Amino acid sequence: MTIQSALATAGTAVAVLLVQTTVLPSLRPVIGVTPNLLLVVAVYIGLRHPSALGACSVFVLGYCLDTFAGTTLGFHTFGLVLVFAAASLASSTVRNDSGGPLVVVVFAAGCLEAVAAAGLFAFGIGGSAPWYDVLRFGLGQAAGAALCAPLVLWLVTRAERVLDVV
Amino acid sequence: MIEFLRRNRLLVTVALLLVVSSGLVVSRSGDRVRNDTFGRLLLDVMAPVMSLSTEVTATIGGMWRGITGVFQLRDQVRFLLRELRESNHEVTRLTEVELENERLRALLAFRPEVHEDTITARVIGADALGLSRSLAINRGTLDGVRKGAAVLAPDGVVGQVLIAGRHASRVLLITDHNSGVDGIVQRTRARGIVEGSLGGGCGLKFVKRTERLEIGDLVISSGMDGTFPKGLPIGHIAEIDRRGQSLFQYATVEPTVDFGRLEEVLVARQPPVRMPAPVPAQ
Repeated sequence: MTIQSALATAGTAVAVLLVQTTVLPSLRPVIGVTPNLLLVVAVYIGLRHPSALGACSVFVLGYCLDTFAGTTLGFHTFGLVLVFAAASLASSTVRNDSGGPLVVVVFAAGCLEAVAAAGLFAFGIGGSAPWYDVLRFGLGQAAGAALCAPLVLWLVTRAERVLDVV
Repeated sequence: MIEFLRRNRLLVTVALLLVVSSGLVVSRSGDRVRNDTFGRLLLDVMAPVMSLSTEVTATIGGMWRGITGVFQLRDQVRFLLRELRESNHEVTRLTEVELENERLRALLAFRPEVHEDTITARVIGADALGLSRSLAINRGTLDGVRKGAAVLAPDGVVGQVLIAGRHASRVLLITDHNSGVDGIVQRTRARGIVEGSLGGGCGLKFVKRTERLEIGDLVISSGMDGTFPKGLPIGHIAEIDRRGQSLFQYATVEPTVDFGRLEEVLVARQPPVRMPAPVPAQ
């Protein structure tokens, strides 16, 4: 992972986090669900930078998400690290510079995270909501994230190019 | 061992992070408050940016609401204009009904004066070509209308039924050149025949030259023709012609009825009681 790539990914992550905490909540009544855009970033890092540094970045990302979402610290961190692991495994077979495969991988990763979250809830960890509601909510988020994946990919690659030029 | 860790760095890191994060979840699950330092630091760092972002979002949201509000206003204006148009139509319709009521009331008030057995008819058409002066009404023989029946209006004599169908009839107006009404000048009691002309006006014929007619004199029906009751206004004398050497003078008569605005008429179902012929002066 180059410095430019790390900065671009980090900048995108911050921007996405901002959008996720300030813009998307106001659109929730319209679109019904808030897509987890950081999931896209985690998948992107997993596909593009399947390394220990990438894993740590995703861990930090998850921690940030835990700071701004949910009640249980580590809940989203666990999910994103899991997603990163899956994306890293798929990195050798999936193209990471195209929106199409990224959409599929993001959706699959979102589903994995939803299952994991539902599993945690099923064991009474993370909250008292019914696990199937958590699963349904997570699948909705996965679908939303998959739809937004090309946009996030475009943002990251754009930032990388800008930083390369600089 | 170190070589293993180096070769499986990613796997080990991921596993370690999963353990740490799951440990966090398990240990912090059920906590009602969060007190992690990194989280607080992150919140503090992000707060101004988030605040700015929220402001921008709110501003954009406000603009968007303004834009959509304009469209909503436009829709509301359209809706209200449509309502207004419909209300105007309703007002027009009600005005028509009111005017019709007034006219019908006038007809009702007029009815007992002229004839007991009359029916109200609506004018449904005019002469198709205009050479003749006639009207179509929505009453026919099934309503008791008969051929030759007198047709009246509150303002005066209209004409007589030319053709009586089952549900509709045609009325020959007094302004038609084929019609004739026995009339008298109200002021002088001079008799004559009011007949129409091709131009659509009326004239009083066969009035003795010795009669002193004046412009504005009212001509009324004499009741001698067996069609129209006596005393109904026909028109006012507008012009008098005494030229020529004949025994009679001619007067142009301006009908009291405005045939162009006639909408309802009364049709007499029974002929008036024929008045006895005047006894000739000895």
